[in-house]
Amino acid sequence: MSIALRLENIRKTIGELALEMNLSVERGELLSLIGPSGCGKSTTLNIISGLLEPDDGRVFIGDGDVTDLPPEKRECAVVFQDYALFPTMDVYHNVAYPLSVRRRNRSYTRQRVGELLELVNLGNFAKRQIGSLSGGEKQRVALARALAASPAVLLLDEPLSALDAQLRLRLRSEIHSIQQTLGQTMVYVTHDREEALAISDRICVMRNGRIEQIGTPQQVYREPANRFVASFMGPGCTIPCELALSCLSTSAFDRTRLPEIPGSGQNTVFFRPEDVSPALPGPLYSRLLFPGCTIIKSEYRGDCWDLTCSYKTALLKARVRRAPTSQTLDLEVRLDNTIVFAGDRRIEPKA
Amino acid sequence: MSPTKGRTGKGLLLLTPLPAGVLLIVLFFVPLLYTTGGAFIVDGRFSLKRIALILSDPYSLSVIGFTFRQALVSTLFSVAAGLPGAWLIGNCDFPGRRILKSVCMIPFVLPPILLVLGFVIFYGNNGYLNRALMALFGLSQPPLRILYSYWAIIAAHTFYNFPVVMSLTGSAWEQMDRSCEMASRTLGAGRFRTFVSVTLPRLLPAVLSSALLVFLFCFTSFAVVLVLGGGPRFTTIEVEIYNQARRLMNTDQAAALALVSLFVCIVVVITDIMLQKPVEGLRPAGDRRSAGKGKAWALVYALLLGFFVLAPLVSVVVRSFVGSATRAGEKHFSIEQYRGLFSGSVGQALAGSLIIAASVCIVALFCSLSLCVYLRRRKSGFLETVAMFPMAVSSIIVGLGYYTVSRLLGNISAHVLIVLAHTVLVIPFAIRTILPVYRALPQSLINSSRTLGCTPAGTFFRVELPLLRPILLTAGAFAFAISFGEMNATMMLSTGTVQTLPVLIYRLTDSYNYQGACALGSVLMLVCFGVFALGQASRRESTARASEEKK
Repeated sequence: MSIALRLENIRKTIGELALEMNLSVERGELLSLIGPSGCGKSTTLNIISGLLEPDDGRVFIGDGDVTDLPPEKRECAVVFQDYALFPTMDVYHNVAYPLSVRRRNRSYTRQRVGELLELVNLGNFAKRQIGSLSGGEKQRVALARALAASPAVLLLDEPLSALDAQLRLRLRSEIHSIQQTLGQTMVYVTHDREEALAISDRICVMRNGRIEQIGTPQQVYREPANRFVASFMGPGCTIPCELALSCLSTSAFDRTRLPEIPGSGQNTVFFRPEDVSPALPGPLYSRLLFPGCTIIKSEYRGDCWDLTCSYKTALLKARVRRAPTSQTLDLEVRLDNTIVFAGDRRIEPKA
Repeated sequence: MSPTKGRTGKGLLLLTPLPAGVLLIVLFFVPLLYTTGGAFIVDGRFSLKRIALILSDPYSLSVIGFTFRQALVSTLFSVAAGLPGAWLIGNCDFPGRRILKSVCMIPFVLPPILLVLGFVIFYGNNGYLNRALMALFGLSQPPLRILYSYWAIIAAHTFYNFPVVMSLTGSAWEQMDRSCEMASRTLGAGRFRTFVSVTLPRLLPAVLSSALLVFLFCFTSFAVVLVLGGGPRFTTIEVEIYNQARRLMNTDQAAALALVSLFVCIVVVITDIMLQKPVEGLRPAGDRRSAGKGKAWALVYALLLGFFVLAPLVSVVVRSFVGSATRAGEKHFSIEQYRGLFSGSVGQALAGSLIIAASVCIVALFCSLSLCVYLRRRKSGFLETVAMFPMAVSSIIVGLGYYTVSRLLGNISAHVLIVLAHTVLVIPFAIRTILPVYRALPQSLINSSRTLGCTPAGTFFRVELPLLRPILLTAGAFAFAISFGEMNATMMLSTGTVQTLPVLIYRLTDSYNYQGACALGSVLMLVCFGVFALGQASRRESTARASEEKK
């Protein structure tokens, strides 16, 4: 695989934000940038597109150094959150815009715009005015317009955040399938972790202008590099290692899997609510057992219940399939579903 | 977080403030400084003697005092007359509300000379009102003798300016969020208490701001005072500047007076700027109370408005068709005055006015737009203030500056001088119209065009300019209307050979040729209303598009 985009030692300071980045995106890959607001994900996007100049570092697209090129010379179109469709042109002329800027001949333009509108399921919308479109239609036009530029990298800046929940689901899968069909390299900025998990080849989790972790969706969810990534990618509970040790179901063998640095007391064990379940009698596989938890809060979610329980000094969150029958219950979590953090960093379990 | 500034063609961008900048420096600041500088030079040396003389000379002092007094009284009357209308516009829904709002725009559209003419025709000793009253009550003498007096000036100023208060305060009232009032009422405060402690404090800045604007208008009023006042008893600073410069050829004395006027105007403008803080809780109207009581008041107010503002204008049109063979001769319907429109000196004045207004429109739009291109990308308080400065300076003083400088340079065509003076006067209005709209264009549209492969210049012509087209039309209409109706600077500059329509109207009025003046006045009115309607239509188009976008 060849590299489509590379950021090398990028630095940029804007107000509170101090961005520092090294990043490379492979051809045909969909990379998501995710993080809390103000973490620098949109800034990164603007540096890639050339709308912002980095203080330091280089931007490469393909093999070329584009750091000193203006946006119009970079071949990376952007889909903006507010669509940024030109209200003075109809749908056809919006999509044809990149082609007309590049002085493509008319028959080619007509054919290409037609194809792109078909691709985004807006086949007969060519003559429509922008004002008459719904939010979802506008975003589709914006996508078609960006694709018309045949960008080396397509940048999407929170493209779905102005839409309602159902439409968001549908459009994200459409974007995903277009990306797959065309093999289009994309950098996708979002603050919605579900969106990122659903469509990304890789996710880049950012905080305070720095990359916390880059990895596949499974990696950042199941093997977060640190406590921030773990909690940003989804809910979970954290309990002190000492407490976890006292809950071990079986042998001294398991003890070695929960390394505790003596005296520090800083190590913690982390696990996700969907891995917590009512304790079952049965074979004694390696697990943490929490007998007699008291339910503090129970929320019904349709396909499951989200329980918040107290166990000794800790609060546990569990996602269970069946309604709890009493105020107390025994919970368990399999040891291989737990993550151990020494301070902030994750420690690899010993085999 | 999106960047507010993309990288732009920097070389080209740095050139964009030049047209407006050079124009304003060479054509506004230099003449202004040169002229006012004259006030400090006595016998070739620097001296404050002339200023001291002005401030100790009883006649000058009485002129200054009268200027202040009439402006203050006119402002008070305008505010008093305008506030009920503001309440109506802001709070009530009634049929004809939009018409009422349009009538409010009259002072912004029609030049003062027209209103003065209408005032004379309607309220004059031999005017329609007096004749109606005489016929009605069988009087042998006209009962109302208000013309050529102190109160005539006040009345004309009030009629001309109260719609300003009405529309400015009214639209602020209209946009005020009603939820504060509702909260106050549910918290137990009565109607009156709510008005005093919740509504009034939020409304006051708008009232004060419109009052200051009216004060500025009245303080620098020229045509009204020239026609209705005239004699030494009722002379304002502006009229005195004109007298000194053009009738007595004493430009240094005029400059000293200009300095006084300039000082007052700048103080007023600065006060206004300081009063203008961002008002919170504004939102588009929608929940206006449509009270039945509002309807009754609206009717009363509309009648008053019709009587005081529209009747004089209508009588101008009517009078233009009334001809008589001799002064005292039989009155009959006639269009003879309109026949003369396209020939002789009248035709020349009309053509001259049109050419001047069109040139001003083009030059001012070009300069303002290019300055706005710069101001949208780089915030520059300095440049903005410089561009707005001519607003604080009366057109008489701008004219005076040109007059003084042109006497130095010799042979410059009066046409050119007038076009340049008008351009300087119009640029601030054009910028104030264009810049907020330009600034409100979403940056993402521009960014998007750039990332799709278009250069900054290409983006300007393909994306920004089409979006600005409606507001440019509006600004152009304003520029045209202001220039077409401008009389003050023109009178300072015009020579025997150059006449414009408003100046000719004044001269005809001055020589009691009312039918001729009225015919020209009707043409002037027609052009101004036409241009204004064009501007409003394109503004509606742009707001309609904006609201469509928001959906």
